[in-house]
Formats: sequence, structure tokens, C-alpha cells
Amino acid sequence: MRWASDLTLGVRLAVSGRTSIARLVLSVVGIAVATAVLLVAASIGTINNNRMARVAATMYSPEPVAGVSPTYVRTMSTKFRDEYVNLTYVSGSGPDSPKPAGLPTLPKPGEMYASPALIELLRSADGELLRPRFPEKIVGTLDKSLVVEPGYLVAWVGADSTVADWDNTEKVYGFNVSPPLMNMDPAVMALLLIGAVVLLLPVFVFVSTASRIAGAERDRRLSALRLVGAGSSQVRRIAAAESLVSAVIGLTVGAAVFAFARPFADDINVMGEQVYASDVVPDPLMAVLVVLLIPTLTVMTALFALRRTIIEPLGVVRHTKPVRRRAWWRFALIAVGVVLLTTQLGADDKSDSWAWTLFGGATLLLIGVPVLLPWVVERVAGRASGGPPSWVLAIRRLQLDSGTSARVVGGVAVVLAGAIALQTMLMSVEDGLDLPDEDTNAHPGVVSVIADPALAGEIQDNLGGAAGVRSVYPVRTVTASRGGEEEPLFSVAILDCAAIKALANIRSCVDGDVFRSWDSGAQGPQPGKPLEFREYDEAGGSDRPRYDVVADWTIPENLKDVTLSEQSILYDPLLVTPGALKDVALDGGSTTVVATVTRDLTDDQLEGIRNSVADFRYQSYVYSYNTGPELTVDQQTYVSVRTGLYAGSIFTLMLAAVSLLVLALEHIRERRRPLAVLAASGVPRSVLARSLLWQVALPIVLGVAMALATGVGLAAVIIQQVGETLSVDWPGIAILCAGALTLSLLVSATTLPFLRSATRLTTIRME
Amino acid sequence: MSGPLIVATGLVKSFGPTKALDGASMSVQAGEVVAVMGSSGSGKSTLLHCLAGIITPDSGTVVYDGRELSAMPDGPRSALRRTDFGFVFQFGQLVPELTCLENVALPLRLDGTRRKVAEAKAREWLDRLEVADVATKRPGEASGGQGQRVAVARALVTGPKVIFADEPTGALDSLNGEHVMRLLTGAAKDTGAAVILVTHEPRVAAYSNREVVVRDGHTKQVEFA
Repeated sequence: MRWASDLTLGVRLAVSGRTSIARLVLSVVGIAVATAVLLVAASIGTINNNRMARVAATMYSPEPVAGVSPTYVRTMSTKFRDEYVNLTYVSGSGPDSPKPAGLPTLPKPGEMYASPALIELLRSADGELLRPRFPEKIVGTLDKSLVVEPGYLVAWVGADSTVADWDNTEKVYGFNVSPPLMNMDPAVMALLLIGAVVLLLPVFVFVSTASRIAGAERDRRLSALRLVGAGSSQVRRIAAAESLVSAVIGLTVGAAVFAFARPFADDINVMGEQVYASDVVPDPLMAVLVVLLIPTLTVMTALFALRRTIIEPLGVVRHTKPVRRRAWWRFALIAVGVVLLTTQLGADDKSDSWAWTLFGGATLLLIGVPVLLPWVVERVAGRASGGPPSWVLAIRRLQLDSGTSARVVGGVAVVLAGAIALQTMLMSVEDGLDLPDEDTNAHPGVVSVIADPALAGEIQDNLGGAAGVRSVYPVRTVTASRGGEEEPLFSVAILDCAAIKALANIRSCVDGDVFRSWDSGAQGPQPGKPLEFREYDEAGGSDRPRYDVVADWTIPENLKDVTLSEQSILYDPLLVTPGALKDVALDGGSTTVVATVTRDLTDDQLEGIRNSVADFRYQSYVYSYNTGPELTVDQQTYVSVRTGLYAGSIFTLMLAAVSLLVLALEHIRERRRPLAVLAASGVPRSVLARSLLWQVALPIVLGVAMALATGVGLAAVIIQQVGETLSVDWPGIAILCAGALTLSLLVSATTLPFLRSATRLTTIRME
Repeated sequence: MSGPLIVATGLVKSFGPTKALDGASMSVQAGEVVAVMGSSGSGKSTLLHCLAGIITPDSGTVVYDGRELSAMPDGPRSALRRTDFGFVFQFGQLVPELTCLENVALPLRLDGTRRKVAEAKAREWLDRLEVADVATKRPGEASGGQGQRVAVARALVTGPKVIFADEPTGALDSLNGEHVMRLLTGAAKDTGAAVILVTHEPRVAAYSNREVVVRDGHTKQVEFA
């Protein structure tokens, strides 16, 4: 009965009165935002699983199955503007040839199934220049199970039986094959783990700070209860009920916001990544965890903050200087984090326990920032003195209660520490992965088409007729070695002098010349030495690809050494003019038809060039000058993780800004009476404004210093663990720190109109 | 007359290097009004808080009704504050979120009394202290004098044996101060409650039966002739 009465009183205190409602609204907003974010985070598992299921649906097995007539499958892509259209050409060799589950039937020649986004694009005015590449009739919309993301441009196109003879065509005996399990690079995995900590931790800090909004006012209220005889457990129950109200309402509002926003997920594009709304479903276990975690965290924070009220209620009521904060448990928390991180140093086995230890250590270390900050602010403010009136007012205020200001800044500091750690790790991991610079392989002014040698002439003609094309050069590439099975293979480019002059920027060339673009030493091409031209044998060997000798040749003595520019499209060690090979019968290889284009090539002209070879379909592939290099699996994973982290960081920073603003406003609201009294006694508003600024500036400077030390320290330990070399991006970190400082100053500036309202003399009467 | 209701002996209490009480002793009889006087910083409020069990002395004893307060755990001491003691401070004792009626009913509610019963009793006391018109208002909407009378009503609503009043008129003008003191001492006399009154104003101390002067943490009894 007493319990019920206490809980009722807590609820009553939470919802009665104008100030209570204002406080409740602020807390609810904070908790609702956190709930929505956590529900999205809880959906990531489902999003990822469904995405993987879609990837698996299109994967195929080339393992022959008795009684199954294979389907011939050739995948390729074409680029339109900045997007890729992924094409899968299919042709069944029998009536029951396998097809993916999401495809009603295998499309016949002249038919295709397309993804909704591709259909929409093809039907739109914007897709006019794409339509020539898709003369097939659209016979249906691709099922969601075959389109990894809602915005993907995908088509399954029917091909005739000649597809079986095309290069890179697969004989497929079944679809929906689980993709092979890949061991993620430990550095990328560590990045992902720390990213999760960095992105989610501020959410929890936000919940904690939201539940501490108007903490001083609440402390005084509960202390008053304590003085009239409420026992410590009673006060705890009342405080718990009070904070539960905002937690429950915040949870409900957050869930409602999540449910309302969910259907719009299809339309949201975060740095090129999209998800299906139907995939945004929180994992039931995680959802239950969120529902339990938020109220628990809110109540625990409220109860934890009650220490002073319980121990010295009188001091709280009379606004006396609080007892000094204890340091030991704050440092202990950080020490445990450091110990957890360092125990894994040198561990070869990057197992689950390694990941969890890393996760735990990083979490504790980052939690240390907002936990230690109030103590540091208190100590620094305690030692400060002197200065102009605004500084004295700020320092005295911080000496009396630095908790609110430190809490205001703590959220930003933890985001900053995480961002610095991530930035440093990203830079170090990027160095380790040797990610190519997108610009290095770009070939300004050049469009190249890889084609079957038999079609080179026709493609050359078509390209030559396209608007924006200046000249067209065929470049044939063959494989060669110095002789002997163990000799390394290298490529040889065969092209005429006009092409050499235009593409390799070599001024002097006569037919019969041979150029060596880089000297790879004794194993590379040498003048007067024999050379074997080789062709890939598809039947091949089982352990290593087999290249059969198709022709022999001797490298001329007058081999000329040249240096190719980094921007050159040619990268072959040997450049050979046709005259040098006139006595050699050489078939095979591949042909790239390279078109130089006008400097002012428009996007539409580029699409026109692509369309000029569209008839050759799978037999040609167009690379435009801005095509980036292919990435390895690790590099692709890293790029995805980096994209996600950048997107998450932007969101977290916005959350920190909202948190900062909410708490700064609350700070003014809580202090409005003393502020009004000061204004009434003649203190200029500008002095009060500067005083408020100092109250945020001092903690934020200390917070930035702590964030810097924590972020770089955390990254250093983790980078050492994953065997990479630490690479600190000081200019980037300086920008982050400056951004955090600017953010704080901007938020303080935003609160000035509220300061004006708070310092109206009527405020004194209202109090 | 029976024995004293509260006996404090040799109380010592320090706050850091500052000794607020240094061997202070005093006693209070049931129904008696005692003024604790002294200059600012003399230790009179600290003495009151030790007597009420709000703070624990470093040494010395406070015996209330035969029970040693300083040896009691927090729970029973809190219970005593609810049932046997009433408090009136200069400010800060009313909960701003609750109406005046709810504030007065609060000690009863905390003790488990049903809301209707508690509020009926609270209304009686508001009436008696001439502030029935602010029953539905919040403390911030009442005047200073009305707020202090609400605080007195709250202090008396549980029928306490002792009322601790720390500068109860400190924030009021003389007219309002006199009014509050008349009502406080009158109601205490009617209910037989003792009043321990901390003040530095002789005008307020004049409502007491005797004075205890605190100076540098020591006490000195002053009996009226």
C-alpha cells in the first residue's frame, strides 16, 4: 500500500505544474529520440539477414547435378550516369532449367524482368538515353527477393542459346546458394565494433542526461520530502516512479515515431545505401531489450543521482556547496577499460572473446569521458579565480554545481572521442588496406571498350560515329612469358604508332618498334630474348590457371625504354607495334577499343557513346574515364563500413547537438530566477550571456582535451592489436575538435533569446 | 512536570575545519516553546538539525522521548520526522509541484494515510491557519506569508510532539511574521507540541518560554524572570 502511495506521488510529481510538464516534455523528447534510434539499431540484424538472403537468391552453383539441364548465365553491368545497371543474361538449355525462386519463368530472348527502380527509370524522361540499351520487352517486375536494395537497377534478360559460347558464361545447376563465409579483416571488424560503441554510446548518454534534466530542481523537491520524513527507500521509490513516467511516455512516443517513419525507409538514401521498409523490423529479443533497457537506465540514472539527496537533504534544500565528487570509481572504470583492451595485445586468435573484450574495453574507456568530466571540471573550476565579472559568475556557479554544465558537454565529448578514435582508425586501416585513390586510375578524356577481337572493327566504327569522340584506337592485349611453365606472366599491348602516340604520349614511333614501359628485371622482357605468347586454357589445371603457348617470338634488340604517365590507360610492360609481329601468327587475347573524347564531353554524349556499342551487349564493356578501380572484398567491406560509420557519425553528431541544445535550454530554465535577480540588480545581459558561455566553454575545452586523449589512445591500442600502423590525421582531428567547439558556441548562441526571456523582471514574481 | 522530551548533551559537530557545535547541551520539555538564539554562524541551526535528527553529531547524544536519536538508523529517524516532528524553515520546504493542500497532506500520505482522509485533515489545518483560500494553488502562487502558514499547517498536521522552526519569519515582513508566529505558537499550545525556534530576532524570541543562546558552538541557558 505504501509502495503504491509512493509510486502515485512520484507520478503526480512528474506530471503536475508548468515546470514539471516542461521538464517532462524535454525528457520525453530525449528518450523518444533514443528509443527510435535504438529500434533502428535493433533492426540492423534483420536488415542484414534479409539483404544476405537476397544476395544468396541470385547466387548460383556451377556444380553439375545429374538430370538437370543447366541454365547459361552471364552477368555484366552497364553504367548510366553515376549508377550501375546490373544485368543477368539467362538462357535455359532445357524445359526445367533452374531459375531463381523470385523469377516466375526464365525470360525468353527479347524479354526481360526488371527491378521497379529500373522500370521507373526506363519509363521516365531521364531514362531516355538508357532505353536504347534495353530493346527487350519488359514482361514483369523483378521480385524483391532478387533486388538487394529498393533503388537497385537490375534486369534479368533472356538470351538465345549462343550465350553458351560467350566469354565468362557460367553453366548453372541451381540458385540460392549461401555465399561463402568470409573471415572479415580483423582491422575492419575492430572498426565495426568500435563504430557500434561510438554510435550507440551517445544514445545511452543521451538517455541518462535526458533523465537528469532539471536534476537540481528535482533534488531539492525530493530533499524537501526527505526533510518531512520520507525515508531513503521511499524517496527512491518516488524518484523511480517520477523518472518512469518520462521513460514510459518517451518509449511509447519513440516507438510511435519509429512505426510512423518506418514506411518511408524505402525512400531514404544514406550515402548510396537503401533498405526496404519491410526489413526494418527490430529483432524481437533486441526490441524487448530496448523496452527494458531504457526504463531501467532512466530509473538507475535517477537513483544514482539521488546520493546527495539521501545523504545530505538539508544541504540540497539550502543550496549549500555539495560534497566533492569521488574520483576513485571514475578512474577505476577507465582503468578496467584500459586493462581489457591491453590484455588482448598480441592475441593471434581474433575470436568472439577477442571481439567482446575489445567491445567492453572500448565501451568502458568511452564511458569514462562523460563520467570523469564532471570531476575534472569540478577540480579545475575549484582552482580558478579572478577575471572579469562574467568569468567570476561562471566560475562561482561551476564551483557550486558543475554537474549540469558537465552533463551538457559530456554527450558532445563522448561523440568527439568516438569520432577521433574512428577517424584515426579509419585512416590507419585505410593505409593498411592500400585503398586505391579513385583518381589515379582515371583516364581523363578516354572511353575504352573491352570487346571480342572479332568485333573490334565494328565497335571501332560505331564509336567513331558517336558525338564527342575524337579518335578511336584498337589496343589488343595478349599474355606472354619469357618461356617455361614457372616464368611469370605479363601482358603485351599490340597497337599502332598512332595509338602509341595518342595513348602513351610517345612522340617517336615507326611501325616495327617495340617499347618497354617498365623494367621488371631479369624475369621481365629483355632485348634479344625469346618470348612465348600464351592463351588461357579454360579446361585448365586444378591447382593453378593454365596458359598454353600459342606462339613464339624473339624480342628485338632495339627495344626502347619509355616511361608511361600515371594517367596513361596503358600499363603493359611491353608495347608492340603490329610491324614487329608481322612474322608471328597470333590469335586470341582481348581487344580494347579506346576512344579519346573531347574535353567538353557532356554526360549525355557519354551515354551516347555507351549506346553506340549497346548492340554488342555482353560482347562489349564500356569503361568511361571516371570509372573507379575494382576493389578487393576486404576493400569493399571497408568502404561499406566506412560509409555506414560516416552516416552514423553525422546522425550521432546531430543527436549530440540536439542533446546539447535541450540541456542548455534546461540549464537556463533551471537558473532563471538567479539570472532574473542578477538582471534586476543591474548586471548587463551581455555579462550574463558571457557568463553562460563560460559555463559551457570551460567544460567543453576540458571535454575536448579528454576526448582527444581518449580517442587517439583508444585508436592506438586497437590499431596495435590488429597489426596496423597508427596513422593520426591531425588536420582531420583539428577540424573535428573545432567542429565540437563551434557546435557548443552555436548552441550557446541559440539559447540567448531564451536568456532574454528568462531575465525578464517578471520572472522573479513568477517564482 | 514530567521529564524533558528532548535532551542534548555535549554535542560536537564539525564541517571540515569549522567547528559548528563544540559541546552544546540543552533540553526541551513537552509543550514548551524554546528560542535558540545567536548571531549568524554561531551554530544555532546546526543545533536544531542535530536535535531533529536531520544531521548526526560527531559526538554527544540527543535523546528524544527516551530514545537516543544519534544512534538510530535512517529509517526510524525518518519515521520520527513523519510522525513526531514537524518542520518550518525559512524557505524551501514546500514542494512546488504540489498544491498547498497536497503539501499539507504530504506527511500523512507518506505515512500511508488514505488520500481523502489526509486531505480532509489538511483542509482543517489550512482553515485553522487562515489559508484555506490557497488550498488549490501551488506554493509559487501564494504570498510569502501564506506560504509560511501553509508550512506551519504541514508541520502540525501529523499532531507532532515537537515543531522545529528555523528562522520561520526570516523571509517575511514584521506584520506577516507576527501573524505566523501567533498562529504557530497558538496552534502548538492547543496541541501540546513543543516548539524549538531558531531565530536571531528578539521580537520572534518573545513568543518563547525561555531562550538558549548559542555562541561559538557552546550553549547558554537563559530563563525568563
